[in-house]
Order: sequence, then structure tokens, then C-alpha cells
Amino acid sequence: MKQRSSEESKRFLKSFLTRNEARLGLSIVFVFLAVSIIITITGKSLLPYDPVKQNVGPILASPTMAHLFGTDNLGRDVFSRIVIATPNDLVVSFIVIASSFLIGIVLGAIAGFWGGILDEILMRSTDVIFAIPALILAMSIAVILGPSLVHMMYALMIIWWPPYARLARGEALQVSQKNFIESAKTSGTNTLTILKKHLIPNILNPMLAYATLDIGTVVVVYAGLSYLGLSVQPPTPDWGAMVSAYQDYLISAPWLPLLPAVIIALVVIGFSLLGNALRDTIESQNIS
Amino acid sequence: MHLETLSNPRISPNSAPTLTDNILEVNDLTVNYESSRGTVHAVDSVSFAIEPRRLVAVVGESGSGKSTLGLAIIGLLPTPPAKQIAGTVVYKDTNLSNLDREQMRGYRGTEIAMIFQEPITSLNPVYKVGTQIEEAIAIRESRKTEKVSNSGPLSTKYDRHDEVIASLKRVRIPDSENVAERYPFELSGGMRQRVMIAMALAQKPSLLIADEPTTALDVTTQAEVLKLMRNLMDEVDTSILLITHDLAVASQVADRIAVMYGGQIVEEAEVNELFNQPLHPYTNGLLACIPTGSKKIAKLKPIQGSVLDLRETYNYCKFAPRCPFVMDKCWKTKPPLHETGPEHRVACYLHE
Amino acid sequence: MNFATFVLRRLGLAIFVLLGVAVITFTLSHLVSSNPLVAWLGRASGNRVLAAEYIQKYHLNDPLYVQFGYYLLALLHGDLGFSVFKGEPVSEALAQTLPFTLQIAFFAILLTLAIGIPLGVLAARYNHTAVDYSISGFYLAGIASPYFLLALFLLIVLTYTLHLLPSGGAFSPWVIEPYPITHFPLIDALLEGQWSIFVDGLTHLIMPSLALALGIFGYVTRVLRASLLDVLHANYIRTARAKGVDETTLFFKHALRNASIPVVTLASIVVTWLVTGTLFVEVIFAYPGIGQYAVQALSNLDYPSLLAITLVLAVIIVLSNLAADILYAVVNPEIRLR
Repeated sequence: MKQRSSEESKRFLKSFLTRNEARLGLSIVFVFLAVSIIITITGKSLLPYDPVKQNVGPILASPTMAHLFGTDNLGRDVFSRIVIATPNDLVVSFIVIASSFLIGIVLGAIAGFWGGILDEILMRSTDVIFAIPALILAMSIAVILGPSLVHMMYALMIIWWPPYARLARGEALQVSQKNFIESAKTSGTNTLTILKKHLIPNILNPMLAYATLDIGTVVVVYAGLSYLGLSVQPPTPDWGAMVSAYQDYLISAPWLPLLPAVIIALVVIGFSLLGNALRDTIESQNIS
Repeated sequence: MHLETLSNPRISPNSAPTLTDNILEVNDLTVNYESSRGTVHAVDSVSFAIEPRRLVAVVGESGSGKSTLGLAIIGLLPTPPAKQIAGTVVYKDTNLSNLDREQMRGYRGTEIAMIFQEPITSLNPVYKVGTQIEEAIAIRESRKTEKVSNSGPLSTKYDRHDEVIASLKRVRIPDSENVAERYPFELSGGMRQRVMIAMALAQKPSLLIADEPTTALDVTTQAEVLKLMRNLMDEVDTSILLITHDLAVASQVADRIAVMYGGQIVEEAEVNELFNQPLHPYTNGLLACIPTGSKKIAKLKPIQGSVLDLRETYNYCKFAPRCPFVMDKCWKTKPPLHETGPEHRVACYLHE
Repeated sequence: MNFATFVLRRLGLAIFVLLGVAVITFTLSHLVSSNPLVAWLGRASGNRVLAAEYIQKYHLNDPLYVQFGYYLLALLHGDLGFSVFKGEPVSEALAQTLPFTLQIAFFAILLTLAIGIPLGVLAARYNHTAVDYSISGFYLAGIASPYFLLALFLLIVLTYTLHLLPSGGAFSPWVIEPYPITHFPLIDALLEGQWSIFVDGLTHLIMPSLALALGIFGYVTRVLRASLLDVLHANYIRTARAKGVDETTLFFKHALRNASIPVVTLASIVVTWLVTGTLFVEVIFAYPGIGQYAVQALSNLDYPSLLAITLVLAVIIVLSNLAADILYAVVNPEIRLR
């Protein structure tokens, strides 16, 4: 176990990119990420129609060339609404994962490395948080804070870190028992930062694979909470909320509730493929 | 070469083999493995026989084909990559090579049994040891009733329980009532191997194939288990085919030893004869590798050269590259296995 | 460590976790508003009589740690607050809705196993073939779907297109609910010999359960497939063959028995999914369970109900995890006896 050389990184990348799963996943994710970035920068200017403007077309029109995804009950263009809502899910997911990753790695590394009472506290608190389903807990917090995108994000950030802390702790435990840590200690380099330089790189890999797979989970939970009306408020479009709003039109205009739902599933599939490919690549690299 | 320190307890004139009623006859058996990197010729035209209540050891290094030989005899070769392309295996006058899967299964366990190298992974971890032995007994009984037209009442689980305990006692496991209730992971390596032997013998096979049964055990336990196997042969009327890489192990219990190299038998003789008069240079090399306590300095002389590539076909002697006595003739044609004396065969041009 | 010690330790952990959850819900109840009465009474906090009663019962004027003590006491007595919206104590509302959700959960688990296990076996048997890949694609789509997608999808296909199943509710309008013996409507219907009511209830149960099962069976399939592939190459399978065991017995008694062990570890994922997914599924199918109750409480800002539901769901999860741990120890002797 040593620091990653650029050689290793190149090999890793190559092994990763040759997998079908990785390619498919990357393409899907890339599309959504690109759209998110573009929307964040350009807002609604590039869209065919204004997402909140009503009656830009006939009511409940089925998909045509003019309106790729049809129109909804207020005559709004569904395609524009779906596209502009793309950053919501993705940005929230990324921020939640990123913060959970950071919190988790810090807490886990400390607990795993020093052990003792710190470890116990960490394990028990994660046990407790695990006992309450993420969605339910986020729901309760969001209700208290008041429904909005940002509040929802905070709620999720508060509850999402335990798996990362556990992963980091597990890896930290394994690493701290390896010989080179002992020799580093005895040779006087007791500086925490130096040990962190050995510890952190080895913890990173499995956590990254898990994080990629986890993005999909956050997306689904966020979509669920949005469906329940706890995130953005109308008329701002958000995928989950759209499904809920259009549910009554399931028979008359099935594309209305189904399209946003399928889009969500697509995002999740993309990240799942990516995460699987990442995990497989890491495993095969560990074997060699 | 004197090997006083290697005990050979049952050498006596009475163990001279009979020439008829062979339990097993293997004739020109050839087995290949298809792999992505070519065809591996694992077993190359092997022929030998085993008589009743005799222990024949097949000795060879890894890659010599000895394990494949064992699996082929009992019909457990993984048949997508492996394929028996020539030769026959005749068990008590039945040609096993002609049987289909279901028929072959009928011979496994109750006629030909096999035990393997690592007892911890070879026993089912979620069932008690007694239950697994009981399953073996039940199989034996169901086959018995198939053969007998008016069968009596099948024994119950409780009758079988007694037999389970008896089979454990037979392999000298103390406290067998207790052990029968244990799971495999609760027992020591030596105990597990005894359990495997008990389980195999509970089916009363006429031939027991033992593939490296003692390799995973420590030296003391090794000797005990070998002695046990030897003693049980007469008790249960079973022959044993012992597969091992260790010539010393073979010498402790075998009646006859066949030395394998590169998928072929290069020498075969009664054990005393082999040790007093080793003919093939490979056999000599193996003997030189055995540490004997009688010498003050144990001088181990490894055999020069490296492992054979079995994907090649050779029309010359496979041992030629490593043979200290190699001659021109050896590179031109394959030496056939021929008799140099009573019950002693060798494949080497040195002894034509 | 023997089995009894093992169970006791897990039990102790479970109790500790439940305490922790109570701390969380307690904290949340105090974050709802500066007036603690709101957490207990919601909009009824203006009601003087109730307010006085609750202030006295739960010592809402005392320091926090005292309040927490009484909070725990209240919980243990089954007092979870009063729901103005429902007009009854929360515990009553829960008692009415929980059996319906449990019915869905039970069938969902059955369906998950009924779909997941055979597909896992098939995927292992035909691994790396088209069958394997299509099964993977199928369950990946299931796992990736948001909670509501599968429900909506089933609704369109089975109800509106094929007209096979009813669109919602626990029973058809003509059904009179059976006399509560066990308080589980379906079981009660059976016990009273009311076969048509039972069947009616069952047809209303299929889609919600299926919607949940389709989203989670993939994990069972994936784990079983991997586990079977491992097991089928194990040495003890070779030994069993050498013993003369026939292929069917070999597969079920030897291979599957061992391969199923890792599946038990999925229990906590499955239960979490069921508990969460039931919110959405019950809303879409108008099924009167805890999920529907929770969503109603959400729209009506019925805080007492919300917090109580959070607690109850956590209890369900902790108890099922405990049961799963015990089941795992039963199925895997190494855990229990080491």
C-alpha cells in the first residue's frame, strides 16, 4: 500500500473505461450533468418555452415536434419544465453526497484510528440514525424547517453521513493495524498529518465507489420528498413534484406523470452503472 | 538406498498381489483440458491396476496429472473444460467409460469413494457432521433396496444414528456421540479428515480414492491418519488409491507405487522393490529429495530444470530436458513402459 | 458465546437504539415550535382544557431532562399525543392503520422472495448468457425506479389497460369490514369464513405489494446469484457428488441452503425500503395504512402524528433488524457458536 503513482492512475482509468457499464453510465450521467451546468449558467434562455408560462400550447397535448414531451393541464411545455428541473435533483444530490463524504471520512478516520470511546460513540450514533429511514427523518426535519429546496438539502445533509463514517472507520481500523503504521509511529513520525497521508488515500477508493452508487439513492429519496411537496413549491418545476401534480392525468395524459418519473429512474440507472463499474474496477485492481 | 526410518508396517510375503479379480483396471487413459491458452494434456495414456485390499500410491509433482487421474476414475471431471479422449476405466468388470451420468452416479460413494485434500472446505459448513455421515448411509441403503426386489423396511433415522456413531468410532474418534453433533468448523483438521474417511467408508466402497488427504495436516496427524487408512483397509474390505506428491508419505503405507511425470507413469513397482532398485532417473531424483534422519547432514538434492508445459505434445521422453542421464535416443522417441522384472515397470531407455 | 447470550446482547443494543430514536423525536418535537404544546397537540394547542391536561401530564413547564423522562413514560404507556385532524389519539389512529400496512408488507416480502429467488437461481444457472443479462437489466430497472414509478406503471397497465385489478382502496365499496378478531382485516375475513371478502381484499392488495416488491427484488436476485456461483464451485459440493448425491438434492439441500445465507443480510435493506415505499404506494392506491396517514399528517401539519409515526417506523425497523440478526444466527451456525 503506497501512494498512487500516475502510472497506477492511468492503468486504473484504462481498465475502467473499457467496461461497457462504465461507458453507458458515463454517457447517461454526462448528458444530465451537461444539462445541469448549462441550465445553471443560462437559466431558461435556451429552452424552447418558458417553463412557468401557461398556455404556450393546447392543454394536455400529447408529444409532438412542437412540444417534445407534450403540454400539461395549464398548457405549459413539459419538456422545458423537465429540463429546467434537472439541476435540482443533481445539485442537491452532489452536495449531500459531498458533505456526507467529508463528514464521514473525518469522523470515521478519527474513530477508526483512535478507537476506544470515540469509536463507541460513533458506532452507536450511526446505529440510531440508521434505525430511522432516511426519507422519514428528512421528512420530519423538512417539515420543521419549512418546505424549500435549500431546507430539504440541509435536512438530507444532516442525516446522510453515517454509512460514510462507517466505511471510513472500517478502512481506518484495517489500515491502522498494518505494520507500516507501527514503524511510522516508532520512527518518531507521530505527526497526525503524516499518518493521514497514509490513511486517507487507502480509505478513498472504496468510499468513492460507494458514493457513486449512493448518488442514485439520494436522487430517489429527494424525488420522493419532492413528490410529497417538501421541496420546491409550485409553480417552480421539480421532477418529483411534477409526478404528484400530474397524477390525476394518469389515464388521460399518461406521459405527464410518467415522463418525469422515468427521467429520475434514468439518472439513477446512469449512476448505478457508473458506480458498479467503478467498484468492479477497484476490485480487479486490488486483486492484481 | 536404506530407509530404515520410514516405517513400512505391513511388508510380508502374504501381501503378494493376486493377478485376477482386479478392483480397478485403467487402460490407456488419456484426459485433456481445453483452456483459452491451448489444450493441456493432463493424463497421457496411463494404465495400471488395483487388486482387492491393496493400497496403490500414485506419486508425482503438481501438474503430473495425478489429481486428474483420480477425478477421471470416479467420473467427477469438470466436463466442459476436461475431456476423456481415450482409454477405459474398468471397475470390477464394468467399463465406466461407457456409462451415462446417472449410471455413473450410481457407482459413486457406494462402489468408488473419494476424499479430498482440504477437509474444512470439503465438508458442508451448515450441517452437523453426524448428519452428513447419515446422508451417506442413507444413500447406500436406498441403493441396496433398489437392487433387492423384495426389500425389507427401510431403516429409520435412529437406526442410522447408531451406524453414524459406529463409523466415527471406527476411525478412532474419541467421544463420537459428541463429535457427531458438531459442525465442521468446530473440529480440528485431523478430526475433520477422519470424519471424511468415516463418511466415505460408511458407504462401504470397494475402492477409496484419497487425493492428498494428509497434505493439509501437520506431520504427526499425518502419520496417524495414514496409519488409520492402512489399518481400515482390511477391516472394511476396501482398496485405496492414494494420490500424493510426497514419496515419503507413500512409502509409509503403500503396497505398490506408481510414479507419474508429465501425465504418464514413468515407473511402477512394489514399494520395497522401488526403494531398493529405483530405475527411472526421476524416481531417483525424488528419492534424493527425501530427508532421511540417518544422515548427519540432510543433503537435499533438488531435481534440476523446471515444470513441463503440458500444452505441448511430445514425441520424445518428457523427462529428457531434466534428466542427468539423457542420451540421444531419448530425444527421438518416447520410451514405452515395459517390464524389467516381476511387478516392476519403467519407461526409460536406460533400462531396455 | 451461546445463543442466549447472543440474543440478549442484540436485545440490549436494540433497546439502546430505540432510546436514541426517542431522543431524536423528542428533540424534533421541541424544534417544531417554541411552544412545546404544538408537538403534542398540533393545532389543538389552543384548546385550554387539553393544553392544561398535557402540561400537567408531561410536565411541559419543567426542565428538558424531566420532560424527556415523562416523554418516555408516555411512550411506554402508549400515549403518543392527540391528533386534531383525525379527532382521536394518535395511538388509536395508528392501531387502525398499522394492520393494513403490515398486510402490504407481508405480501410484498412474499412477492420479493417469490420473484427474486427463482430469478437469482436462473441468473446463476445461465450466468453470462442473454438470460443473465436480461434478468440484470430487469432488476436494475426495478431498483433504480423511484418509489412512485412502479406503482403508477402498474396502475396504468393492470388497471386502466387490462382492467385486471381495482384501482385503489383496501376493499371494494360493497364490503363491510369483518369483525376485528386479530385486527388484521384479511385474517379476520378468513377466520369468519367470509371468502369473498377475503378474495376482494387480496385483489386490492396485489398491486401495492407488487409495486414494492418490484423495486426491491433485485437485491435478492443479485445477492443470490453471486452467492450461488460461489457455492456451486465449493469443495463440499464436490464431496457431495462423490458421495453419490443426486443433482436435485445437491442443489436444494447443499447448494441453495448455503447460498441463501447472505440473502438474510438483506433484511434491513428490504424493511427500510418497504417502510419508505409504503408511503407512496398507499397514497397512489389509496390504501388506508400508515403511509397514507403519514402523508395526510404532512399536508395538515399534524405534528403529533408525524413524530409518532417516525418513532413507530423506527421501532418496526429495529425489531425487524433484531429478528433478522437472530434468523441469520439460526441459519449460519458459525455466528451462533463462535
